Amino acid sequence: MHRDTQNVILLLLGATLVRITADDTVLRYVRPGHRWWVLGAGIVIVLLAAVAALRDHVPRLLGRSGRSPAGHAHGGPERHAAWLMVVPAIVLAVAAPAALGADAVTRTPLPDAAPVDVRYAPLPPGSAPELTLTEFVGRAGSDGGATLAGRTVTLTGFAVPGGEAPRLARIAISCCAADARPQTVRLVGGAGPAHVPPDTWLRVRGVLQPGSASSATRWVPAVQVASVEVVPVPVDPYEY
Amino acid sequence: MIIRRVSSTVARPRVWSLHAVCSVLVVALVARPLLAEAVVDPALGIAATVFVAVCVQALPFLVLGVLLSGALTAFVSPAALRRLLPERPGAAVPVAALAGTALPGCECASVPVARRLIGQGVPDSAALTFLLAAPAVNPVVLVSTAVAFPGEPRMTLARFVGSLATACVTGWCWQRFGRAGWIVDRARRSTPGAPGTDRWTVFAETARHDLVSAGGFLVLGALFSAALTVAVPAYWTATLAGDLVLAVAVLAVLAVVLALCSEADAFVAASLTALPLLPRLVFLVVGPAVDVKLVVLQAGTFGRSFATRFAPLTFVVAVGCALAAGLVLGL
Repeated sequence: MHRDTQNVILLLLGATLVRITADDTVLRYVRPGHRWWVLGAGIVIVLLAAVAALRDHVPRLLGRSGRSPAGHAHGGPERHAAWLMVVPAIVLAVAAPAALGADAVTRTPLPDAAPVDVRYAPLPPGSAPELTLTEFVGRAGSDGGATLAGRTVTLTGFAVPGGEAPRLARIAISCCAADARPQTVRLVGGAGPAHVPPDTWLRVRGVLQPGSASSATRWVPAVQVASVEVVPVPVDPYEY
Repeated sequence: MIIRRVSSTVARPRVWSLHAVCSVLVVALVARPLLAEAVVDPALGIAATVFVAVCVQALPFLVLGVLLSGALTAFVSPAALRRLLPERPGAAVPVAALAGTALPGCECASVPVARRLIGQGVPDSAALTFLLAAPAVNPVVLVSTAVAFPGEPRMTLARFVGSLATACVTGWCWQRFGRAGWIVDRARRSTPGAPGTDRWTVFAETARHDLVSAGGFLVLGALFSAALTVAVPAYWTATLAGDLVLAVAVLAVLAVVLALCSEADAFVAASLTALPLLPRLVFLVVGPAVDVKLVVLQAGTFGRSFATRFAPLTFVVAVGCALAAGLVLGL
């Protein structure tokens, strides 16, 4: 592959990385703290390509004999593999895949065992404190859900219809979307969402149904719903 | 704009690859509605998200790796490296393993660095030991393991011991049985650029060259990993709780197939609560040492005949060391 082509591909890739950190697209794929690494990588890639291109061409444009840009990569598979670097750039430019949602949840089996029993601090005071789904599921499975007993809490997630009760879900990631772990609760009671399409974002206020996180329910707790409202998709779709 | 400028200054027919890039981009833009629609398919949509996620996650580490490899080539002389390492290759292996613990990064960072270590005259076995140790036992990975397994400090210790042993044993095996010819010549070749070029030029050219030669393989690995994520796993682990041997085998294969970042795999292992700790330890020791993304990257960097020997060797050694560490520590 010609050096100029390599530089163009690198510029394309680097610019794509910079762009997805500028809007919040990057949050669909990795955790927020990683954003600066992605930005830095994009800038370095652009710089490496730009410096090489300038060194190749500027002296010749000025009429001096510069380094000939005809340097080809060495033989073997690495000559062609560099082509593949356009793939992520094109996928991001053309489709920008959405964050994982209801499809990823329904494809993941329910847990086989109880979550690790952790000693949680009491819930913060106030009516209906906000909890992440990860924390809610963890609390519901620890000490029989004692720290949640009788308390109304506020949960935000997306709808996963199907089964006996619709579920409210959120995807937890620790590095990137490849290590996704769905966290789900069942929404029960009359005030539950009737027929919302999958991936509708909801803010739910409700109470843990005592004893609902058991082996019979595969440790998916049930929430007795007090109220539901549809909310816009959050900038940051995952929990960490 | 950039594309037009370059092609007008080098308007020769032999720069066909540049025209090809432009054609690919044009076709992609024209086919945009089709591609956007394809992503609506659930499995393909998940695969696309995972693919981009693995690329976006891993590229910064690859960039870090090529900057290190550039700096190594430009600013560290082979003589200085030789002074740092013991004379005997057998003793250099554990030193390289301990050196690896100081480099926090994912697998992708250590491949270009290991290549340049070999280029700078470090024995193959020591460079490969570094390659295995750096992603597996650095402080970031150990801390994330401790966080993922609260109340199980033995898990972190067992991972440290198992991974360090994997790196050293593989290094010694390679020193005893490995042949220099299995690694392709281009991996040993030094910097592009004439002698006498200044150090910063060597640095930039080496980093750029390593990025170009490894970047494509990283993308290929991400493609495999995304396809396999959708095609295989989830339900595999559902019925394993009763059979320890089967659980160890499946989790070892799963570690290879999923190609998780070594800083994240502990959380995935922790979420497999139905399984005993031993198979999950195997998952954590095998993953950073050998996975599809890494094998593709190694095949691209060191050659196919290297990868077809090194990957199975590492896999067997990693499973063995993980089991030994787990049994000794009573997991």
